[in-house]
Amino acid sequence: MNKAFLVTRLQLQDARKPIGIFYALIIGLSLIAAFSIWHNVGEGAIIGGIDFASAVFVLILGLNSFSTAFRFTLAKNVSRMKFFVGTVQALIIIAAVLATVDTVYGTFLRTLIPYECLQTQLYGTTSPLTVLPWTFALYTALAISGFMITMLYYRSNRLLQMLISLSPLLFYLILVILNYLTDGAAPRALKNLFSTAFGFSTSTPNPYIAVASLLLGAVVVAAISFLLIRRIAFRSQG
Amino acid sequence: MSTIVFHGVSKAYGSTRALDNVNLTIEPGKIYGLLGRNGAGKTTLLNLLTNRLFPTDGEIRLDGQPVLENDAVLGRMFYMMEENLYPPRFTVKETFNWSKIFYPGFDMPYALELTKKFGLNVNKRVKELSTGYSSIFKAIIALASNAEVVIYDEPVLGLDANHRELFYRELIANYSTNPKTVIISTHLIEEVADVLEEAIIIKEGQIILKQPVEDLLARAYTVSGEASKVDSFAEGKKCAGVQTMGKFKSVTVLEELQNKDASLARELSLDIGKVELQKLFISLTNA
Amino acid sequence: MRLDFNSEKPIYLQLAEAIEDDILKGIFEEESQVASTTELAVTLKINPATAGKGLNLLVDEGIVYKRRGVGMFVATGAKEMILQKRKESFFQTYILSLLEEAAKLGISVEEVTAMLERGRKK
Repeated sequence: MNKAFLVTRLQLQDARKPIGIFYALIIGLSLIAAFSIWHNVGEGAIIGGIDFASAVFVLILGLNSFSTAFRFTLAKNVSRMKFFVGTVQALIIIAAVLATVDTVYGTFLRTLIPYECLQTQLYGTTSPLTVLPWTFALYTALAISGFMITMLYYRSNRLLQMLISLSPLLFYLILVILNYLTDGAAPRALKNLFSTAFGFSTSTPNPYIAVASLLLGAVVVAAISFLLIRRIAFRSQG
Repeated sequence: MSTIVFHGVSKAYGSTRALDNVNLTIEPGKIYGLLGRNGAGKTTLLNLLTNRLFPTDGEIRLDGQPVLENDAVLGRMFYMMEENLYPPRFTVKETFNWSKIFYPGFDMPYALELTKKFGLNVNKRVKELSTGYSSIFKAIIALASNAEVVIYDEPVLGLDANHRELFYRELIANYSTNPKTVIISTHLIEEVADVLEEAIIIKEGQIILKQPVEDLLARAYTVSGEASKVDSFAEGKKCAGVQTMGKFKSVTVLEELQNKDASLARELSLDIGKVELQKLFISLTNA
Repeated sequence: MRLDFNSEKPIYLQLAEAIEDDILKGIFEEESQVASTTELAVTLKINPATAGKGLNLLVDEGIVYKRRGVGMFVATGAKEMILQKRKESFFQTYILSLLEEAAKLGISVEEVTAMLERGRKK
């Protein structure tokens, strides 16, 4: 069998347990929420955030998909290319499964309690036909970003690693400085770019534009990951 | 067949050259010892062979095929590293299962038989293994891998005498029934010397010698006895590894023992002895 | 069978001699199977190629022969062959050098014979 599929199998098996635990928690918590609403505890409350939790979770799965698995496949003399293809395949499958579960479960939950998923909150849309692709694209982009970040970290020296860890802060600082220098123009441009990319600039917010942007983003991040892994060298941890 | 060729291979880390223009041919079906002092470049050489690292210069081929990112070629080799690369939370058994998936030739019954012989609990997690059992665990996977080229880097690290003995015997039995290329990189030369067919000695990133152990040992001997007599015997001969203890002196002579020298030694009442690979190694690699 | 790894002799030669010794002692009977290369290599912890070289030496001399797919067997008359060979080597290594040394010291052959007789009585 193609070694890339073997890597996919390894990655999927690895992710099975955390995914199970995650959904046990999510379903447990949402049912508790449902019960409290039925018993008039939280009257008028709107429940949401399952897909937000999934988004964070899928990013973590992406972050965890590199180091251990890479060392293991190295021990099995699998090429970097096959490891890369296999892992990206696994991450796409995980994103698809999570997006499907969240969409289906969200739709089901909405019949019981006033539930709003991330997309409903942002775009006002509720149809599974728009929710599913949007969620899938978001999860895929996040998962592959996580994969890329750890790889970047692995390839960097101490100084660069520190910079990567501090990058959110650095990004914020740069924004503040730019804001000051350009008298607010730069952050505004950035905000416009984001709202266009995520489909908020149209008369009614369009989630499909966001799907395209997110998938494009995922492809770009995957391409960067590929460049990073192509000549990645073994690093001793001992 | 699986001939490995290093062609002008160098590996530099900044300004230090871990490996310097290595040209080396490893013929199939022999047990090789890769011998060198700490930091001589043994592990770098093996890491390059299995493409864990990329060479700065040169190329490595297996049967004419470059090893770089080449699954077909890499899959024919198995490399037991000194470092444990297995996921810490996996059990021994799980790791075996995955080994079978990635190396279809992996011999599961044999691997399980070996765990019994070594007393390795297959339900233990990788992170729970002691240094010795971690070595045993990795060595078992390598022994059972059934790859054409099996490479061991310090295979007996942390093993007690009985387990070391058992490992060498299993290695010989395995090699004998399933001929393959075996490369053992180790510091423990004395105990592995008779197991090796050829020795590859590496010093400061360069291959200084590659020879059948038997020839190597035949081309050197020790002479010992009263110091002044040893000196007169050794005059004009290529010598190394001089040891003196009071009036007693012992010298390793790096040439084949000639009949006239043997009788000269007898006249001077000096003892001629076989040189050990370890001693020879020390004299060859001392700066 | 025990090999002396400190001896000057190469291991394969020692191995061949050790098997011959075992044949002389009757440990390996004629037409019985001798240990295989693998068995020898594993028990003595030596390279199989070395063990094979030792065995092949005996095959070349006709002391041991190969039965395809079965293994190595001691040839009929092997014991006699080994004895002859050892006698010849005894003559080469001891008798000839004895006579050579005797000639150097001016000892006649008769005197040597007398010395041998004296040595035997001790």
